Amino acid sequence: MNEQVALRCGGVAKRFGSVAALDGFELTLRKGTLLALLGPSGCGKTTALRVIAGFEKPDAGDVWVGDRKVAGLGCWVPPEKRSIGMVFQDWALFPHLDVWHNVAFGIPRGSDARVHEVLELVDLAGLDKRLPHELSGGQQQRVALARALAPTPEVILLDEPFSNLDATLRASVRAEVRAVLREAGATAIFVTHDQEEALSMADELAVMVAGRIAQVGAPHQVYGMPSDSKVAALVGEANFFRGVVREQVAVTPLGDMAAPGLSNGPVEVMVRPESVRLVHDDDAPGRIVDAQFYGHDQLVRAILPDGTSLDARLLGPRPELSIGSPVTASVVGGAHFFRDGRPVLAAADSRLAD
Amino acid sequence: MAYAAGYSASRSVSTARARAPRGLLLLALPVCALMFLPVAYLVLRAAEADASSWSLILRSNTVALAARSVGLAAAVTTAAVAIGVPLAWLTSRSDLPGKRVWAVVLSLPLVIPSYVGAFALLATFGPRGFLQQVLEGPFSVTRLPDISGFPGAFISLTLFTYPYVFLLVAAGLRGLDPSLEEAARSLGQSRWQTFRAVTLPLLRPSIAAGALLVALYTLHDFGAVSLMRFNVFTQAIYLQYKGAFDRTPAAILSLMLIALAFTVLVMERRARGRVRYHRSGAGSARPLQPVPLLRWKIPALVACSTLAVVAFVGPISALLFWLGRGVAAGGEAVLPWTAAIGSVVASTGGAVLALVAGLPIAILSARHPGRLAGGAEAVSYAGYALPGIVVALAFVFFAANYTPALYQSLPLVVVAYTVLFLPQMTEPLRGSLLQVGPRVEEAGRALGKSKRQVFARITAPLISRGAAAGVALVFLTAMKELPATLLLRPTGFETLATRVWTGASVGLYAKAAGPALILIVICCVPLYVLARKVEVDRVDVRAE
Repeated sequence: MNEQVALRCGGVAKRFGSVAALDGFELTLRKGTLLALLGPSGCGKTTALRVIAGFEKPDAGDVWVGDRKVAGLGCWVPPEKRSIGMVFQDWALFPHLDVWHNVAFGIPRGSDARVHEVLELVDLAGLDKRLPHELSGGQQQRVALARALAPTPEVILLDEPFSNLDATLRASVRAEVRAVLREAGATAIFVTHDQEEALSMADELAVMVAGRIAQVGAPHQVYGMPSDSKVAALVGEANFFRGVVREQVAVTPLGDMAAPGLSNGPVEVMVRPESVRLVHDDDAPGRIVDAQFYGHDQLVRAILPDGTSLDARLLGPRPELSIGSPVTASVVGGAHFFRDGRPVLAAADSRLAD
Repeated sequence: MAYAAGYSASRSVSTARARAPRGLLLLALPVCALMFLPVAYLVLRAAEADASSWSLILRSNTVALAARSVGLAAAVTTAAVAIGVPLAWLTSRSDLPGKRVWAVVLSLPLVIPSYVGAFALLATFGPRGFLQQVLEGPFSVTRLPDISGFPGAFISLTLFTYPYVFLLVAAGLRGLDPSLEEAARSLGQSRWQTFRAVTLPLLRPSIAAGALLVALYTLHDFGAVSLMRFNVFTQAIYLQYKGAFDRTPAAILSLMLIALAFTVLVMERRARGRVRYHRSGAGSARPLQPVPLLRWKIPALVACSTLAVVAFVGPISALLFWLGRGVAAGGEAVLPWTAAIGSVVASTGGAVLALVAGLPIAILSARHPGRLAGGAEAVSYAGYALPGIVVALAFVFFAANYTPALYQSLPLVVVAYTVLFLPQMTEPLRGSLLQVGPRVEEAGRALGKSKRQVFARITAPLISRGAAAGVALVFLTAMKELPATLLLRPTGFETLATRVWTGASVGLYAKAAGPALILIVICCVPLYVLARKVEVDRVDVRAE
C-alpha cells in the first residue's frame, strides 16, 4: 500500500431500509490533503463520514486508514480504535466539562503540554476554564477542532462544520480552521453543501451525487472541466440550454458557437455566468428581469426571446442594465457541451472565427 | 441545548436504524418479563374460573362498581384540571404577588397521601371529628352532615392530586416559546384569543399528561376510598381477597380494573395528538411581561389562600391536633420511628432497583428506537395501568404458589414497588438521554474511549439530574404507597403508611396522626429534589 495514502474507501455501500445512502462509494485521500465532500442534501455525504468514522457499518465494501483495514468483510474496528477525529455539525462539546477537559478528553492523563499546545494552536489559551455555553459560536468551533486534533488522529472528519455559524462569522472561521489544519499538518475531509466553501477551502474537491463520488480533483479542475452536467450544476453557477450542432457549429439561443469535432445533432450547452456578455440594445427583444448588485460585480438575469433564462456576472457598475432594459446576449468565454450528461467538448473560447 | 432537538429530527434517519446491542437487550428482557408477570398470572387465574366464580362476579353488581370507579375518576380529573390549569397560569404568567411562594406552597399537597388526606378530613368533619368536638360544647351540635361516600372520596382525591396537573402545566407554560404568543398578538389577536388559540392547544400535552396521572391515581386509589367507604374496584378487590377463600373472583375484578386503566392510558395517548413528548425548558431566555391581574388580584389571592388552607394547612393542623391528643393521652409510641425506618428502607430499595431496571429500557428507547425498543418502552409505560392492589394480589398468589421463600418478604415489597413505579423512572431518564443526544457520545468514541468509558464519563454525569429526579419520584411515591405494602409486607414489618392505615381505618385518629406527620415530613425531601431540578433546568436555559 502506498505510504502516502491516509484513507481509502472501496466500493462502500450502505442502505437504510429501501434508501441507498451510499452505493459504490470510492475515495482515496493522500496524507496532508484537505478534501471537501460536496453534494446536494441527501446525497449521502454525512453517511459517508459516519461510515469512515465507524458510527455506521457498511453493507459492502471496505475502509482503510493508512495500511490498516478498519471495515470490510469480516473486519470491524470500533470508532475508538480507528484514530479518526471528528468535528460534529453541532460540535458536540461535552457540556459538563470545561474547555481544558474537553480538549484533554481524548489523550492520556498528564499530557498537559499537548493540551496547551493545541489550545495555543486554535488561539484559545486564556479560555481553558470556560464551560462550552460560556463561549461564542466561533470559539466553540475552535474547541471542537482542538479536541479532535489533540490525539493527533490520522484523519479528521468535519461534518458541515460551518453551518452553525452566521454568515458574517463564517468566512473568518473558515480561514482560521484552514490555517489551523495546515499548521497541524492534518489530513482532513469536510462535508459541505456550500460550493463556495468547498471551492475556497479545499485542496481537493470531491463531488458526490446519489451515494457515489462523481468527480474528484483540484477545485479549479472540477470547476473548469466538470465530468458531467450534474457536477457542472453543483460546482459554480451555470447556465444550461439546448443547441443543435450542424457542421461543427452549435446553433444556440445565444447565437452560433464553435463546436469543433462534434457530430451533428442536439447538444446541451453550459456557459458560466462570467462568460456571458450583455449589451444594451434598444432594438433587441431580450429583457433584463433581475439584477443583484454586489459592489465589484453584479449578477444580472435576462430572458431571451425564446424564453431561455440566462445569468450573467458583469464587472463594474452597469447603470444602463436595469430591470426591463432591452439587451442582446453573447458568449465571450468558454462553453461546455454535453450529450446524455457526459462531456463531449470543453472549449476555452467558443466564439466563431470570423 | 436548542440544537439537540433539531438533531433528533433531522438525523433520526441515520441513528434510527442503529441496531440495539445484545447486552442491552439482555438487561431489558427480564425487566419486561417482570412487568408482564402480574397480568399474565392474573389471566391464568381468571381462566380457571368456573361457573360459581362467574356468578359471584355477576351477582356482586360489577357494572355499578365500574360506574362508580369511572364516575369518581372523571369527577376528580375534571376538578383537578379546573384547579390546576388556572393555578399554573396565575403562578407563572400573571403579576400575582408572591407567585413563587404560592407555586411552592400550592404544590405541597403532593406530599400528603390521599388516605392521610381522607383521614384528616374525617378527623376534622367526620363523626367524633375535631370540628364536631369544638362545636359540641358551645353550640351543642351533635351531628354534622356525613361526608363519607362519594363527596369525601371526591374532595380528598381532588385536593391531593391537583398538583400533578398544576406542576406539569406550569412546566409546559415555562417551556413555551414566548415569541409564539407575541406572534399571535402581533397578528391582531386579543390576549384571551391568543390564550385560547395558541397557548391552550400548545399546553394540551401537558394537560393531558396531568389528567392522566390524576385519573390513574383515582382509579388505583385504595386508601381514601376505603376510609370514605366508597365502594369501587380497588375496595371490592381487597374485600374479595380478605373475605373469600377462592381468589379467582379477585383476579377477575383485577383484570377488569387493569382494562379500565389501560383504556385511560390509550385515551391520553390519543389526546396528546401528534406531539410526541413535550420538551420543557426550550423556551427563550427572555421572560414574558407578566399579565396584570388588575381588579382580579384580590379574588386570585383569596382563591390561592383558601386552597392552601384547605389542601395543606387544614390537614396538617388536624393531624397536629390529634397528635396533641395522643401525646396527652400517653400510651404506646405516638411517633413510630421503627415504622419510619421501615418505610425509608423499602422505598430506597424500590427507587434503587427501579433505577437499575429502568436504565436499560430508557437507553434502548432513547438511543435505539425500533420495534424492540418500542415494545420495551410500551411495557414499561404500561406500568402506569397497574394498580398497586392488583400487583400486590398477583405477587401474593405467585409467591405463595411458586416462591414460598419470597412470600411476605421485604424483597418482594421492593420488587412490587419497582413494577409499580418503573415508568416514573424511565420517563425522566429517557428525557435526559434525549436531551444529551447521541452526538456527544459519538464524540467520546471518536476520541478513543470505549462505550463503557463514554457512558461513565459523559453520559452518566449528564443524565445524573434526570436520574436523581426519577429516584426522588419513585422514593416519594413508594413512601406513600399503601395497598401493595399492606398485602406483601412480612409479618410484623411496619411502614408509616401501614401504621396510618391501621389507626385510621378503625377510627383511632390519635394513633394515626403521628406516623402521618412523619411521612409528610420525610416526603418533603424528595419533593425538594424535584423542585430543584425544575429550578436548575430553568437556570440552564438562561445560561445558553
